[in-house]
Amino acid sequence: MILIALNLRASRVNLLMNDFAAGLPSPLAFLGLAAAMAPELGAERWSIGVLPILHHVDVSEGRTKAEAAPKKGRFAPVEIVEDLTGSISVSVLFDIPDFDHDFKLKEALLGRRIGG
Amino acid sequence: MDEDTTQAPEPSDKPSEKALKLEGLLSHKPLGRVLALEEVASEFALIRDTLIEARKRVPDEADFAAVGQASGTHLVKLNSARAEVGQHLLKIEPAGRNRAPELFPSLDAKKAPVAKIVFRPLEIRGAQTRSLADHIRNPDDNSPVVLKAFAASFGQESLEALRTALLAPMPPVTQLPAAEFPIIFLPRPGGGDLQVTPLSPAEANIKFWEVTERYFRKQEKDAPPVARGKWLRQHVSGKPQNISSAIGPRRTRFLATMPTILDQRSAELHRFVHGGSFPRWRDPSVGPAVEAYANLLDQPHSNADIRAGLDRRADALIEGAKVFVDEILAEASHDFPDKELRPAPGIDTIILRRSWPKDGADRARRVLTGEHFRDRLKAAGLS
Repeated sequence: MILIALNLRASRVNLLMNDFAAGLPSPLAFLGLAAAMAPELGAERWSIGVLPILHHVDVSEGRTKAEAAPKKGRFAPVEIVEDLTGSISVSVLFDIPDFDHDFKLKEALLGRRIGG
Repeated sequence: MDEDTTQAPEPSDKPSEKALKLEGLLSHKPLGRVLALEEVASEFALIRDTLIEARKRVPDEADFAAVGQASGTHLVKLNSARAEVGQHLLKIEPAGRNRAPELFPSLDAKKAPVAKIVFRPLEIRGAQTRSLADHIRNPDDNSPVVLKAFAASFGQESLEALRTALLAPMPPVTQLPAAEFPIIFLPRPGGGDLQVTPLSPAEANIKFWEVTERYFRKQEKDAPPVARGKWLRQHVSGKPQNISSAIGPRRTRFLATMPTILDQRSAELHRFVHGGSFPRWRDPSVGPAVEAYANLLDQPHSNADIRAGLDRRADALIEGAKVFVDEILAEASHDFPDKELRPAPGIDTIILRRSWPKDGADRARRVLTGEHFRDRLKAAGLS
């Protein structure tokens, strides 16, 4: 059955899409979200189809703080990891085989992250 | 996010003339020194002599072997500076290709000049720009001359050592440092999961420079405008030379952004042109004007003044709606010249499509489809 989760808000979404592009969440991130929820919904792990509809994407201006390590007697940041995160507003269509409990989907969605 | 497009600041201590000369000869980027095929030998000799002049050691067999061994297609150090030496690069040769993939060096910054001899793109007139490493891994007609030229300046043993190292397979990476390596799961064909650690090819990072370089060129006066584009440029390393002498401190990617949201009028126009309903006439004075017209129409008395007033009110509504329709159609054919526009709905529909007070819609519909209004439409030539 196809269910829609309307107007989800997610923070610190990974916006590095692939080796060449950045700025929007990767479509694969939503497949991963569905795969992570699959056991809870009693579905086969990769059997859930997903279609995300992005409404809004806010790119964070900041960077993840570099990890610090002792360096020449001082506690100094080590190499900065490349990252781009942001908060998004999204509606997602889930195609879950043999499943029609919308409240269960709601519960399964709580506290998940869109990593990508 | 770091999006400045300025050049890196000049180093504070002025480089000596000799070092400057060396910089003009050794680089991972094309230097603009276009050579004839026979001049390659003298170019390698010039590099060697400049090294001697700059009181630097002329690299030997062992140095070239080290560069060859520390060159791969995937540099683990691009993900984590903590990758151990010996476990810090991969040489992946994709199947089904008739060319060996391009390699990139990843070794001690001290060996950077040696790496730049091996990987400097040699611009030979009438031939593709390729580095010495390319000539070894993917030989073409010019390769024997280039290799001979190199051997003449740096020794046959150096060439053999470099060739052996560049062509040898790499020992596999068996361990990764604890940090910075994401573990993700992918569906395994035939069921189950596959645990993977993604590692991007060094080419994706380093070669991007070639794609984007022209978008960051300085705008010359009176020259055609330089295209700019949207980019994400991030500082990813304070000491890129410790990862590879071929990379800069910044990584560039295409920046994807959400399309801008249209304002209400533009969105309605867009929808109409693409098969949606006609835009609404959002003039707030229309509702009260229709109500006033209905009041006058519904009152029992009638005389010449009242009839003149009715005509005037109906005509004003018709004129207003007509102006609105003409405006929208003109705007639509201007903004979407290729689209065939559907006819606009009738004047009464244009006036009726708004929010009405309770019972107002029925009353408005009654008067706007009534005899008097239809007569005025006819008089205006609209029905």
